[in-house]
Amino acid sequence: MRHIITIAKTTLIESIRDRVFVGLLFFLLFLLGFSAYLSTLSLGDVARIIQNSGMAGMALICLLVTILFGAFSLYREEERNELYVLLNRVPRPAYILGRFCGTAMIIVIFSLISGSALFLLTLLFGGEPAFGLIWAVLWNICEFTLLGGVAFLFYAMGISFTLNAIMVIGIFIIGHSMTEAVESFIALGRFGSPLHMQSVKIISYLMPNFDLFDFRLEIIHHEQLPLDLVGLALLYWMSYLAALLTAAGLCLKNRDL
Amino acid sequence: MQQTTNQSPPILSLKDLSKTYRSREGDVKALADLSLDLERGEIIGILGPNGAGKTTAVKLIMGFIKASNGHIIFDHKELKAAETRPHFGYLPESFRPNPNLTVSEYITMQYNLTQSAAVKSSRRETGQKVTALLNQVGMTSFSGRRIAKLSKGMGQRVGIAQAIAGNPELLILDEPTSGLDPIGKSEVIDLLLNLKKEGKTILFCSHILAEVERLCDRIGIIVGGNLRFLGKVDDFLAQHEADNLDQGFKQEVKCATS
Repeated sequence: MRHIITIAKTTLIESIRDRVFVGLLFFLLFLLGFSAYLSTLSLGDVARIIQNSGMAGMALICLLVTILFGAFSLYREEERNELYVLLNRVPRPAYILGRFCGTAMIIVIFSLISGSALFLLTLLFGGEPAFGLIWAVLWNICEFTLLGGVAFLFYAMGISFTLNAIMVIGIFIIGHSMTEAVESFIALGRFGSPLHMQSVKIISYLMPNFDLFDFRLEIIHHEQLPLDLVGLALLYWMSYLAALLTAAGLCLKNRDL
Repeated sequence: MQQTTNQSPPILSLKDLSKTYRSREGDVKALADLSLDLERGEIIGILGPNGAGKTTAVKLIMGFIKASNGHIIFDHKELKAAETRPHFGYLPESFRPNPNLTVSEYITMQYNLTQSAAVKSSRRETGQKVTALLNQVGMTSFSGRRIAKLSKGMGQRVGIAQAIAGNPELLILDEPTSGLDPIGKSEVIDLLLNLKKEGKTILFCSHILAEVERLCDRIGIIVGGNLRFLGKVDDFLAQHEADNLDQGFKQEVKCATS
């Protein structure tokens, strides 16, 4: 546990001091400012537009955070030969877990900053407090920590950084279109028997299904979040993340470095 | 200073250590049946041209790669690949510490990693240990400086400080002077000589012969993955009827590759 905490703390400190961190922070503020500007141009519901575009900006920033602070930092550590020094003292699965916890903390920081800024913008421009944004922050954290877990697994498997980044972006896109794709195919009647249909649905959950964390409409329209789906999403997140990190730890343990 | 004695059991034993890499073109034997005993308190230098198998040997000892064959025994216990080596201090080749941390933060982090869960040292005790480590490598006045702002030589001193954090019984240093200017090299050699005086056991890889001659009690020469010689520098020179290590080493490499 001590090893995990030390590695996580170091990951957080080195990331916060990185120039990329400040760059991403400015980019985030620019995106949120732009969403506020967009809302002034529209005739529609200002608060809704700010929240909608702001949440998209938050997702984009967190995707970059996952790739740059999650995946890239691991490769950089290996390139500096620092990985070997750490793995002399820290068991490989603990190293993965520590690094992951540090990256998760950065995702939490960015999500909280985005959520708070969005809350203020909605209040200023829309004139109403959007408390539902707390949920948006939570789902954003779930989604990108899961994606971070995927990046860590690819690293542990020995995949190069470029391929890792491409595959993470690919999985992010696929994970957001999986439910829609399966439903479209079902509607078109492409899957013969009900058993066949059911198995395709199950398979769609094997690839990270980020649609489970998408409560954007409910949040924007101030609707009650369906508790059964919230429970399912949290359970899915926990079990999927645990599986990803266990697999990453095992892969790194069995890999020649 | 601890004397090298052949009566005491070796601190580290390598027995028939081999590594073969499989590729489409066929198997590549990076290291073949390396056997050697490292006595307590001695400095052994592993010499060899580029690609000879020195780093492979070090990576095998450290457990970063799995051996195709052979055993590594440390203090009567067989070591397995992918396990941590808490009793070893390690400095890899071309090591660059985390540039976003200060010297003191970095050494504190490394020191904390060497501490077992059972031993809980207070912040004050850790601070004192870190100061002592920095003092040992002559970096006390740079403790608050970011590593990114240090010269290569200073970075290497930080590397040595992290290697000796936790007071390891054995130090494994892979090309500790590579990429350094003559002053930096001399500083690192002096540091290693001080560690030798303190009785540390050191396994040291290099292809710079002068520093090996100055530092090591024994040398091992690896060419093409095979250990060609293991013994004292004087014995090596006598065997090759050479005046210096450079001359003898060239003869050995020529003989091995012809």
